[in-house]
Parts: sequence; structure tokens; C-alpha cells
Amino acid sequence: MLETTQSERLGIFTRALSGNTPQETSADTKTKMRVQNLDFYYGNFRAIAGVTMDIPEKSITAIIGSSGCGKSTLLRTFNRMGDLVGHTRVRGSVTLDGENIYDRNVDVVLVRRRIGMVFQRPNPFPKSIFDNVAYGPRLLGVGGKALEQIVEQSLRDAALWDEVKDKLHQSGLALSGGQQQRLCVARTIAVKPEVILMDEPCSALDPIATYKIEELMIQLRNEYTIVIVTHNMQQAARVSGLTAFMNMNPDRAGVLVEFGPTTQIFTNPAKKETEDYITGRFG
Amino acid sequence: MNQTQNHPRTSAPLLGMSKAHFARRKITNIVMLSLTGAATVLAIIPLLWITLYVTIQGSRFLNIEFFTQLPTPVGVPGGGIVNAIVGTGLVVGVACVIAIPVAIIGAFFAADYPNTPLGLAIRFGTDVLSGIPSIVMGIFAYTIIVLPQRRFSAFAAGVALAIIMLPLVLRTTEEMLKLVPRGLREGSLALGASNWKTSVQVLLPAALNGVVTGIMLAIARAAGEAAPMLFTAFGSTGLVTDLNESTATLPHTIYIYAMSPFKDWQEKAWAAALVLIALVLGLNILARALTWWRARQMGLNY
Repeated sequence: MLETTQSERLGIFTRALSGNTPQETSADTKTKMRVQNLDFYYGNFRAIAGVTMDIPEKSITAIIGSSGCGKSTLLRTFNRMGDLVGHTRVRGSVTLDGENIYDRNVDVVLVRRRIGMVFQRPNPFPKSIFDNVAYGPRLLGVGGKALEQIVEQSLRDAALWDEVKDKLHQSGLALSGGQQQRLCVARTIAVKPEVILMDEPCSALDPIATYKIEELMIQLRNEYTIVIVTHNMQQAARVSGLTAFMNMNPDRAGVLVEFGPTTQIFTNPAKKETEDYITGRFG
Repeated sequence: MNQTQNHPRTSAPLLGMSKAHFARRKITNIVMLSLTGAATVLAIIPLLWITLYVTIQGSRFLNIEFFTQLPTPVGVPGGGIVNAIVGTGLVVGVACVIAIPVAIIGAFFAADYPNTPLGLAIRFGTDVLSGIPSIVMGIFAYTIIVLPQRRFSAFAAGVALAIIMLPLVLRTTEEMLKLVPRGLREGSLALGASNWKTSVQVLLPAALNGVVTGIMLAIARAAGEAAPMLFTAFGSTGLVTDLNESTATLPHTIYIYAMSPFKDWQEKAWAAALVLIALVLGLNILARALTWWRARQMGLNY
């Protein structure tokens, strides 16, 4: 009896997975980022404990797990956004192409140029649409015709160009929530980062806007390494190649329970905790 | 439309709400509303009264000459206070050049690193500084600039006013920077912008309305200070554009003229007071207009 219910529940994901066209993750896929024994502390509180995972290049890796288990915190260690909050400490390493981004002589600004981020709430600057996208390239000294081309290409890549091409000089804040989020994606890819981190990018969006962002991610994964934190398990099933499931230890530290190909995590999880979570049964 | 039809209003009384209870609540509401209204009116009365009184007193002696002519000796009709108007502009200009950059850069630090020793020191220091009476600033500028140079100067007056403006501009800027959503800052940093670029290109523009308002209010406050002028700008009957010379200023002129026993000088004091009030009011209105205009430009709704 229980078996049937469970397989029925898993059916949702089978349908979601059928929409997913998983990339071939062959053995020779290059590892883009490698997380090793990562601990993250806010003051004395350990928010992340001993996370180890390899993120392959040009693919989408999803991080799922219940609220407060440290998904966002983990994601924010990947481009050192966690540094911004005072009294934080990191142990272990996060490497990008073999280079530890927490190394003493690493310039955090350069790390963030290579690892971009899209946030939970769309956060366009209170500037025009053009200036929003041009912001990053301008930091690198790009101007004139080249800048215009980058802005147009980035907006096209973010599937926003047709909607905004006639009002590039209007405020980015005048756009709808979904458009704002795509503007933030355009802004991020305008600096051609190697990795794009997405922190629940659809949680503030309606289903249609969510669909558009997912389409966008699937297009972008051919060129970028994407790591997405999501509450929406079907979203993870739809877009990602690999899925990481996180949970909270009794001491409230976030740990990585299971990490593997998305199809396996959703259809044949190795750990009971994972199965309980994705079938909607906790504890 | 449809909703009201589907859910017609019932006239049944709500649970536990007797008629007397309802009446009492209504009366309480009216009483409180009247009280707050009265307090508001009381708060505006001094402003209206002063403005009206000075306008009536001052406008009688106001004419074009008053803005374009130098002062005349006692008893000689005509003449103006162009020297005091230019002097105030000069002194306030010096104060702005000194205070605004320091205040804004200091505010960035205090907002970015609020819990560092230096950040705490900035906040505490500016709070104390804004509580120090302006006459002390005058004596301070007198001691460190006027005495060693052995002359009163517009520059010394500018320094005194700069110290008055500094905490006002710094604290308003800091508060405005803190109101900028954290997401904007993170968005910029995530694009590989340095802290400095983020501050200048994202945070400052987003906070600019408040910053400009703070600057305008600080200017208005500084322009009206008479006490420090006694020790620094000192006063002059001629038109001065040299920072190393003593110069007349509006508040100081008002003080001298109003205290004099001569009727025509006292009349000119009223007119000068009107000019000063108009200047301060004008700056305030300008600050509001700029804020409104920029908010419209950016498509922001605040």
C-alpha cells in the first residue's frame, strides 16, 4: 500500500523529469567547481558542516532541501557573498578551475567577475534598462558601439530583447517582476561569467514568468555552469542534471545528504532522508 | 460590483458591539483626531507667524537697490546689502566645499562598516559634534585660523560653518545609505564591482534624494548662523570676493543693524531677515522639488 502511494507521489517527478532533457554527463565532463569539507560559521554557529561536492562544467546543478537548512548560505559561499555579513568564517575549500577562492591572495572582486549571481528577489538598479545591463561591462571599461552590442546580445540571450527594445532608456524598475528577473539575468551574463549562481530565482515570480526563466536556464546551460537553489522540487527535476539534497543536523548545521544525477535522486534515492523529503514525508 | 451583490451587507450588529460601545468609540475617535489636528496647527503657527511678520515688516523696505547696492552710512537713504548676500554665498560655498566631500565619504564608511571601531567612532563623534553650540565652532575657527593669521577672513567663517554642516550631512547621508535595499548592493558586488564602485555608482544614486535634501537643510542651517560669524567673518562694508578678507554676512548684518539705535538700520534689518528667510525657504523648496523630479525620472514611487 505504502509502496503504491510512494510511487504515485514520485510520479509527479517522473512527469517533470520527462520534460527534462538531461545532458550526457560522461566521465570526461570537466569539474568546474570543487567544494571540499566546507564548514561555514556565523560567529560560533555552524551553518554548514562538511559539504563536499563537485560541480561539473556547463550543466545545471540544483540544491534542494527544507527551509533554513543552509542552501542559500552554501550557494553564497561559492562567490564569497557570505563575506558581506560580519563575523563569518569559512573552513575547507571552494575551488574554481582548481584555484581556491578562499586563498589569502585571491581578489574577491575577480572571483565575483567569474562567478555571477541572480538573487531571490529581482534587484535591478534604479537605472535605465540599458544602464542596468551596461553596468558590468562598463566596470571592465567597455564603451561605445561594443557596449551597445553587448547590451543587445545579453538582452537577447535573456529572452527579454523583444519586450524592451523600444524602451531601453526607461527605468528597469518599471518592468514586471518576471521581466526584472530576466533583466537581472541579462545583467549577469553581460559580463560573461563562467558560473552563474541562482538563489531561488523564481520564488517571487508567477508560473508563466517561472516557465520563461526555466527555458532560459536550459538555453544557458550550454555556455554556463549554473548552480540553482530552489524550493520547487519539480523545478529541480525539470532543469537540472545533478541534484544535491541538503538537510539540517540536530545541531542545526546544514549537511549534504545526497548528491547525484537528478533522475536518480528523484526516482531511486539512496538515502531514506532524501526519499522522505521528495515524497513529502519528513522525519 | 459582483462581489457586493453576492455578499450583501448585513445590518446585524457585530459580536459584543453594543450601541453605547460604538458611540463611545466614535467619540474617542473624534476627540483624538481633534487633538492631533490641534497639535499640528500649533506646530505650524510659529512658522507662519514668523514668516508673515517678517514679510510684513521687511517687504516695506525691500527693493531692487537692496539687492544690488552697498550699504550706506547711517542717515543716508537708499543703499542695500549686496555685500552681505555675496558674503553669505562665499562663506557657505567654502563650507560646502570642505564639508560635503568629507561628510559623504565618511558616511559611506560608517554605513559600510557600522560595527568597526572607526565606524562607531564616526557615529558617536558626529552625534556629539551636532550637539555643540555654534558659538563654540566660531571660537574654534577663531583660535586655529584667525589668531595665527592675524586677520578675520571668509575662509575662517567657512571652516566654522563646515564643522556645523559636517555632522548634519554625514548622518543624513548615512541614514539614507542604510535605507538602500541590501539587494542592490549585493547585485552590484556580484557583478564584480568593487566596494568603491558600488558606493559611487549604485548606492549614492539610489540615496541621492535624501543626500541632496540633507545637504540643502545643512546649508540652510549654516547660512543662518550668526554667532560664529562674530569671530570669523567679522563684517565689512565693502563687497568682498577674497577668501582672506573679512566679509559681511546676512545673519551678522541682521545682528548689527537690529542692535543699532538707528531707525533706518533697524528697518534694513527686517528686510535682511526677510531675504535670509526667503533664502532658507527657497533652499527647502528646491530640495523637495529636486527629490520629486528625480523620483519621477527614475520611475520610483516614493
